[in-house]
Amino acid sequence: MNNNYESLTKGQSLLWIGQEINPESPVYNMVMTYDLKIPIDVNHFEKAFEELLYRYDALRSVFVVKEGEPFQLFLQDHNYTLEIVDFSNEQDPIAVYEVWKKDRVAKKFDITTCLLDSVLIKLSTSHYVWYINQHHLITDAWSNGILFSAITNLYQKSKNGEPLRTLEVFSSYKDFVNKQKINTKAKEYWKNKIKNSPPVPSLYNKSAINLDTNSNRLHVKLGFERSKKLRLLANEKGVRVWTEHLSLYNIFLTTLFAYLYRVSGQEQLVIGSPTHNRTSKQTKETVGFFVEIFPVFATIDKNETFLSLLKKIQIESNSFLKYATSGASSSDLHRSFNVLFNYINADYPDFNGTPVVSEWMHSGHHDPRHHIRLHVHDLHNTGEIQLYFDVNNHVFDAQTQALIPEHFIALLDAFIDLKDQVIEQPSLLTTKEFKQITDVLNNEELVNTSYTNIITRIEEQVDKSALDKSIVFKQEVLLYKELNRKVNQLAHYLLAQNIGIGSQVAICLKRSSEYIITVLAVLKTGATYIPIPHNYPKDRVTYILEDSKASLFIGHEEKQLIDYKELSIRKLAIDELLNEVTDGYATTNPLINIAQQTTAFIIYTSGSTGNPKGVKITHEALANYINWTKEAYIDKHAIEQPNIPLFTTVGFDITANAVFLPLICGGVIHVYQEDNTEVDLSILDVIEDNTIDFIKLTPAHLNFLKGLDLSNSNIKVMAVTGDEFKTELGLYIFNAFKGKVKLYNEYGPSEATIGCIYHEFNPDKDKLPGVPIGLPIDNMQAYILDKYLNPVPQGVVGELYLGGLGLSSGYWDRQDLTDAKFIENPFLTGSKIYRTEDLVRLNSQGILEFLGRTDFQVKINGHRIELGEIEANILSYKTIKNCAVIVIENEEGLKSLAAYFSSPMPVDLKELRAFISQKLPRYMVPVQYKQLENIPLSANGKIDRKILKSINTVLVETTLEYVAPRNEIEQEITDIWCAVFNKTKIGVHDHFIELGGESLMAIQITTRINETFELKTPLNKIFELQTIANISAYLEEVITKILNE
Amino acid sequence: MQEKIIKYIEELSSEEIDESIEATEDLLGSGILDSLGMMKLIAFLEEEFCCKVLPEEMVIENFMTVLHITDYLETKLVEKQ
Repeated sequence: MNNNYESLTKGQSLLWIGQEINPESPVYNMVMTYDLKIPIDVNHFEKAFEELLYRYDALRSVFVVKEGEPFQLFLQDHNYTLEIVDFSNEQDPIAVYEVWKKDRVAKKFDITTCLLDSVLIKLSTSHYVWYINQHHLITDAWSNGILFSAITNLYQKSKNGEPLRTLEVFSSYKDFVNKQKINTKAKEYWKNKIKNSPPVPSLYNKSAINLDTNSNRLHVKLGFERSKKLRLLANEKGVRVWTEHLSLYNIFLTTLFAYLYRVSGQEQLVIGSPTHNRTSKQTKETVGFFVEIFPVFATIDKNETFLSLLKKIQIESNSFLKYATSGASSSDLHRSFNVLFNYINADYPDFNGTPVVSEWMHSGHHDPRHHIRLHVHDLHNTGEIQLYFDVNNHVFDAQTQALIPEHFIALLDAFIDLKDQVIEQPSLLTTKEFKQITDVLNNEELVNTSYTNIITRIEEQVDKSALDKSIVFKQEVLLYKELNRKVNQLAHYLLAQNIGIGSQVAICLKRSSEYIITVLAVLKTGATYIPIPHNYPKDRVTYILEDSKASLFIGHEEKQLIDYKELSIRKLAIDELLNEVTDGYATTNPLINIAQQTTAFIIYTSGSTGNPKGVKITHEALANYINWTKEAYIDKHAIEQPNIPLFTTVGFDITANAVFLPLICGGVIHVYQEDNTEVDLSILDVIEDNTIDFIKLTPAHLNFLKGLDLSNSNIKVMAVTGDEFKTELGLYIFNAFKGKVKLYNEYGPSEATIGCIYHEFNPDKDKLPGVPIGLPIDNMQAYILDKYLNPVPQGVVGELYLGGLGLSSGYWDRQDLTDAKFIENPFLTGSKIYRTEDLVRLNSQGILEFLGRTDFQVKINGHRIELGEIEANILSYKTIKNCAVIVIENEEGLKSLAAYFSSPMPVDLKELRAFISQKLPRYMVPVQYKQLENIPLSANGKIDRKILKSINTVLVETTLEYVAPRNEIEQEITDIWCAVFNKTKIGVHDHFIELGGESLMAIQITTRINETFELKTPLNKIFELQTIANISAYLEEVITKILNE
Repeated sequence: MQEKIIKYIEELSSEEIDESIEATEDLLGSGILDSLGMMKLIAFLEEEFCCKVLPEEMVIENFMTVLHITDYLETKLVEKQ
């Protein structure tokens, strides 16, 4: 009978495809067991079962493929019979049955011949189990209800001797298939609905790479008390909707959305939910697969409460019910979610008066697309709501699986407890889980805490290494003995000038022996030093001098200090002083007692209010950090008397490492002085000299090393810090050293003293784009918290908070800011933690991964920049009313700053740029500008930075006029620059740096120039020559020279 | 109007209905409709009477019985004119 071939319903085809994709998996087995604790007449039960097959055609259907398309056939004669198994003679029938059952549920169907497996199991004369497993293609939960009441009824009839076959006509699934009309309006609704579908969330940072159907079912009974509370909540005004079931559905769905938000951080979420789809009397009596799954959408807004989210869900679930119509589902809809919520509103009646315990068994598999399936039910109408969490084994390890129900229930309880609370407020973690995480991150067991200040440590070393080299600067060599003598003499001089504990001394010197001597001498007096880079603009230096209330300002020469003559601060020209004056002072150690909490130095960092702020570092914090670096970077690698370069700007706290670390190890400081060029290329000299053992540097520095042969380098250990360390760069450098180097990623804001979390780069294991930051150093603690200071579960993104001995004592003269950023440690009374505003997560290996900033503080080429500071300066320009600075990235991912502003008058961009250049260091001056009518704002009144990113800006190239290339060489170079900068027009006098150029671009340009002209131009030429015109002239010279040879 | 509505409800309902549904019968409370049925009924009403039931109007007070529904719809249709 050819006309027997029927198409599949929409829902069936989706399942059929799912089975085709996982041909070996029992992914769609629907297994029910019914415990019948009465004697059963097997013969009558068999007859009743036979009649089921006659009545319900779906049970007799099979699935075949014809010309590549699936069809279902409803067999007239299906010779399937109920299987009878007798375990009653076994020693422990139940145990045997359990083993049997576990194996049997995973039985795979051949859907071309039979989709049904049913067994009557005898456990004793008065205990039977009816086991029925059907492929989902022919059944659903509703059908199982129909089948169970039918068999109950038929069995009784058979026992009573009544005829089973009557004239009654039963609704057939085949009829439904034939009559199915697809509601186009609903189809259209869903099509529109998923247009802006968000990506599926990554829960606990887990995602499935290979789809796998293996899953585990976690069963949670909510308890009578909690279930009662839930029902009460469901009937509250504002919560109650059409029915109590729908109200409960909404409550659980709301909680599930809140849960997904909390464990993924994703605000826009989609959850799939099945609907029984039986909306007519006829379909309600039909056995077969009717269920279809549709998506439910929710967006979590700021300060979302359980109640406000529930209100959204109420509207959403009504629309869901309205448009969830038979045949409207599609594979596109199914792709929009990875979490399924199934509220089962069904209960199984008794078996002719005997209470029955039924169980929906888990086959050990489910649709691989679903990472979590939550089933809520009270199948036996006990009054106790139960949850099944089916979790994909491939996505979640056993440890995470166990946490899923705990976290969900924590939120459910919070909802019951106080529906008006913000969904982010309740803590998810159990005490046990919190302890596990704290154990990893917070090694509160203190090590090496006996405090010895850094000056005493150095003085002890001076005794040991008196005749060893301490500083090498060009031709100049200072032995430990000499260094200490000079330091002591200066210290005594300063003491005589009333500099001592409580004084603050600003040091604005180039990297030099004088700088080191001055820093040490200031510390020996017990005073605090404030390092100021020599090349800072006058405005910024003046600000720091005034803000810090420094009592002394030390520069190299009178010439330098004269710029600040209008400031009343005492000034000292150190170069002259050291040569002439201090020789007369005592050479002995001053022996000033320096307490733990005395501030060693104040480092000024970019501040969001428009001015930099001073971070106070105590002697205890400094000693803790330097002691640790000695162990981790020097002693651990058996380096003795390390050679360490002083080559980074003194305004950067990592520079303190290069001053103090060598001197407590008997090592040598190799000084690399900055010249007056824009870009400090000292790193290249450091590498070329090849005398050093340990170096601490930024990823930007590492970029300069690309292309250099490092296989013969003496560097044994590199600590990379100050910016995000990319794995790719790590690998590149590791390979350039032929693996003969230890690379560390060190993380730490100035507020936690130079560095506080570290990780040894592992080229085999570190596979993410960014190298992990690792775990805290000695005596430091890390916490990953959410907005409400709740610790977040492992894998979930949170904000990093730091505590421990290395914590700064706060900001200089900014108690407000100190109080805002250094808060009471909620986990350790009496201590503080610092809010970093950095996003991190504890990954599955139990180490920290850095994921970016929470605020608008950014890093460009290693420079920490508060966009607010730049904005504040732009706002101080004449007519500018509003402004926003954002980081833009070109196609190659290179970052630069763009400024957007509004003003009632036209603003001359070049003038504006020149104005900002006077106020801020070069790296903080935006290179792109755009004047707008108004700065676009988002719904909640904040500057909409996303929109800004889409507005094109104008590159402002200082005050130079555009000059087109004037000869062939200039033309070639201009083409190369335009390609690298992704610009159509660049003048030959435009500056490389001002165009936003940085090291990677310099490498690209140099490589292309060298290819074009067949030359070997060194990388630093670009930084040195700066413009196309200059480079062109240089190349011309080189080429002429070669030709003449 | 009432007849049309009752007829549609009877199609939706799974309950054995001997006599016609009374206009005063509690549709959800008596189990004639479940929430899925109720939303399908609303979809039907919107289609049939060319109106839009706003989310805040989807409350038991407007849809408890056929009588409530007709009252609600009449007000709604008057507003429209």
